[in-house]
Amino acid sequence: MPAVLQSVLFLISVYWPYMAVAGAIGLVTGWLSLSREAVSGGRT
Amino acid sequence: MISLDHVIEIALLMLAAYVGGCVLGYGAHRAFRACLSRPRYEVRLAAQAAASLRAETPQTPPAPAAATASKSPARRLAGAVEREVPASAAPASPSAAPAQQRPSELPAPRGGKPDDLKKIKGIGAKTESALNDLGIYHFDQIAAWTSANIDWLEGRVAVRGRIRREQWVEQAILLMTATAEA
Repeated sequence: MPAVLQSVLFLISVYWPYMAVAGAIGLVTGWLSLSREAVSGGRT
Repeated sequence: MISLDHVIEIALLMLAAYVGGCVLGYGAHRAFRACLSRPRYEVRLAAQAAASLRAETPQTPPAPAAATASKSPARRLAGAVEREVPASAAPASPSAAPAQQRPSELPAPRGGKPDDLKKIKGIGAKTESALNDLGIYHFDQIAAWTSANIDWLEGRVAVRGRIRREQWVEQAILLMTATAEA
């Protein structure tokens, strides 16, 4: 197995909770971005 | 001590997780919206019933809203569709009625108690508030909207095409019937 892949897997196994938080923040941001689009598109 | 390589990799992984979350959230919201704006099964069924009724009785003149109180939901729905057809059938006539017409309004809700317009799929709290500001409080008011009324309202309380696409009028007719029967 390449060293980079090993390193990435190790980092994921250690830092996955932080990645999950980042993913959740991204999820909320993505959800809200569509709401903002709808409001600026004339939806009240 | 964490090496610089690891810090960069962690940052990239976090960024990837964030971007992935953004895409997922956006997609999920779009799917949710699409699901919400899809007409409900009963509405589609009523629209089909209205279409079949129209096919059976093409010469029936549209009855006034007050006279339709005792009719079945499907007949009332057919009446609503018929009211819309003439306006959309002859849009280019210059001497015809104005293309946009403000719907009838009430100074206050009847009995001081407005209907919960949020029961109509596609109407949220903000839209309900905007409709109330225009003097629209009850399902029967929405059920009586003509094509000209909808044209007037679109751009004021909803994005163009939403009222027809989400079938507010048809939903209002069904809700009005359900309220009357309850």
